[in-house]
Amino acid sequence: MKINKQSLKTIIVLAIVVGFVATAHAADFKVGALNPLTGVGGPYGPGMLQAIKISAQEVNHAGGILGHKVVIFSEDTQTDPDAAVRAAKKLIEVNKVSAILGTWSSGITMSILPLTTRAGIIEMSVSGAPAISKIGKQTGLVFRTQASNTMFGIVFAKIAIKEGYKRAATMAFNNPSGRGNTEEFAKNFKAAGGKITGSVVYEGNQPSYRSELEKVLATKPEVIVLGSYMKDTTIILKEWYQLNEPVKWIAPAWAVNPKLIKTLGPNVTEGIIAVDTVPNEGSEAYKRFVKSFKKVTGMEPKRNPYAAMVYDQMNLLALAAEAAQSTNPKAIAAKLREVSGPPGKMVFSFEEGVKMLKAGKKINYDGASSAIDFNASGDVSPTFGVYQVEKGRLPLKYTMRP
Amino acid sequence: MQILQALANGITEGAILALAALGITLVFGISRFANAAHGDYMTTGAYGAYFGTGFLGLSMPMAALLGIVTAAGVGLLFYFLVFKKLSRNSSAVNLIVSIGVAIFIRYSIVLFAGSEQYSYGLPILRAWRFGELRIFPMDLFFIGTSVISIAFVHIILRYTEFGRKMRAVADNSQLARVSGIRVENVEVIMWIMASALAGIAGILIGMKTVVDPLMGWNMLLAAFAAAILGGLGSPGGAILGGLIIGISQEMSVVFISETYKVAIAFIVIAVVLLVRPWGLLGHREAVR
Repeated sequence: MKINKQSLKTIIVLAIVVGFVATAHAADFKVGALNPLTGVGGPYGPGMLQAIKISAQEVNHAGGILGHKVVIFSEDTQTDPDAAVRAAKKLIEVNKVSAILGTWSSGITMSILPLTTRAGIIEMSVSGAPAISKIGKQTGLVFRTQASNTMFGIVFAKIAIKEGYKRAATMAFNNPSGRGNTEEFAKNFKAAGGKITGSVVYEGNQPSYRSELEKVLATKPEVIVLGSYMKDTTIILKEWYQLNEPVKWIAPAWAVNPKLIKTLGPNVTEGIIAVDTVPNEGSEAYKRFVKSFKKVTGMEPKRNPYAAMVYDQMNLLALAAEAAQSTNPKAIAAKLREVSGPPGKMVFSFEEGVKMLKAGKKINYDGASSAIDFNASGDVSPTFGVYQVEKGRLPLKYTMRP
Repeated sequence: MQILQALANGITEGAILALAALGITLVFGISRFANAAHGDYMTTGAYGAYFGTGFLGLSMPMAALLGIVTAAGVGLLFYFLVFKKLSRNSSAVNLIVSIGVAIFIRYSIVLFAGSEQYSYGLPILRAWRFGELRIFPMDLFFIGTSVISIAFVHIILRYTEFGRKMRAVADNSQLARVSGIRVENVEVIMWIMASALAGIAGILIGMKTVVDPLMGWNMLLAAFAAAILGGLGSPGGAILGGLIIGISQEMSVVFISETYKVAIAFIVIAVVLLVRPWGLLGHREAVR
């Protein structure tokens, strides 16, 4: 048989394609890690990806999910809903993943949920928008290891009351999370007898928010509550300091973090209150995670609370698959609630959990980020930490339950 | 008073925007395409300056110079590597390739510097008060830098031998070539100027906000809009366009809603272009 050059080329290309497809063969359990590797979530995304990989490695080390090796496909959301949708499509259609983990920022999670729902796969996020709970309740395929903005709003209001404020204003980044935080805050603050003097919702990615800031400052609030991200918060605080108007600040800790304090310096940031959930420090899972995370990334896990949250997502996904004795996403989703909460024997890792499940016992995974007992909407109820900037440091002042 | 304050804020925004739009319009005038990598040339300038302050320990003026040179160098590099070779292709081809260049630059920056935000560590000065009006000292510096840079470009275009050649190429490059003007030389110098302007704009934004990999890209749409509003290829139009967009955005916070300030700026553009499709100061012939 004579093979001409053209058909030889075709054969080689075909062989490569077949080989490529074969390396990710059907026996693998495929998981999409859809993290904000760049954009405003950039400080967190790379660490989150590492945390998912750490968990996958632990699962594979313990024999994989029902004998299937866990393979992670990573895509970058660029913290941009358009890019996230493209990436999710690729993960679903090309890689055929069973679950997408670690979406950060509610705008992004909301934009890819229609895709994951249609494909019938599991979506686990670290986003807070209240609307995500509704979809979770309907489909049973949506879970998150971050507290919802409803809870953040309740906690913000409790803090403002505890600190003795009577007049508050809000500034929100125009997305479901930003608006969720401040709207829930306003509702609860008013219910507790406080007055909302003004509120603005601003479009992100602007070089200045000065006119917006002056608009709320003109209403003379004692405190401004933010539903914002680090970059816009940096710019807002910089402009506020230049304006020289005394006011206090309460912000989510993903916006006011050590990096922001370093950028602006201790003078500007003194006294700002930052709020986030605290990791589950008493748990074996947290201790083990901290060790692995430091070893792999050389970073302090406390600076990236989402890393522990996504680490728990991967562990829970693997445990639920074992409990379901199936790799079908719907079957796994049906078991996620059961393995995450009581009743059952407390376990802190995949390895422990699998042993218990094989022995026919029920388990209750106690995670690195929180105790993680998913409710009917796929939500968790962690403990919150209230931090306050003090001479350029961000020590924990007290903890609070919503 | 609120209106006056919004006007002042808008002028600062507009001054920086004008600087970015001027670079875009220069490229369009000579090389005949909208350069989507212009935003990332701005980012390059900002990172060049950060490299100067953060790593080399240079003073801010020296670091800024380094940033401008870096941006100009990168602009020139991609001219020789990419755009020069594509100069015979349509402007659509060049535009699409420039998007590729933009992404390449952005992720090269992420690769070397990460995606975290940086700052030049300059002191943050309190506002000066004039009655109810509050002026940031830094804003005056931004406006001043912008005015000086634009004036410099204007003088080159209007009153120098090179400027005459450049305008000749912009008007009709074939005729200019036949008249003995070396079009390639004009292009090289134009790219250096446009990229250096991008560098200056990037450094100003970095001083005003923070330095991060998306800073230039985020400004690009507004800068394009300013250039189109003024009339692509018209330097005066770019400045006017920048100011109109900056001021209308800040005014809309006072009168309409801060949430839609970006949208409102674009409505202004849509209305202007309906009446004058060639832009405020553009030439009718530019519409093809």
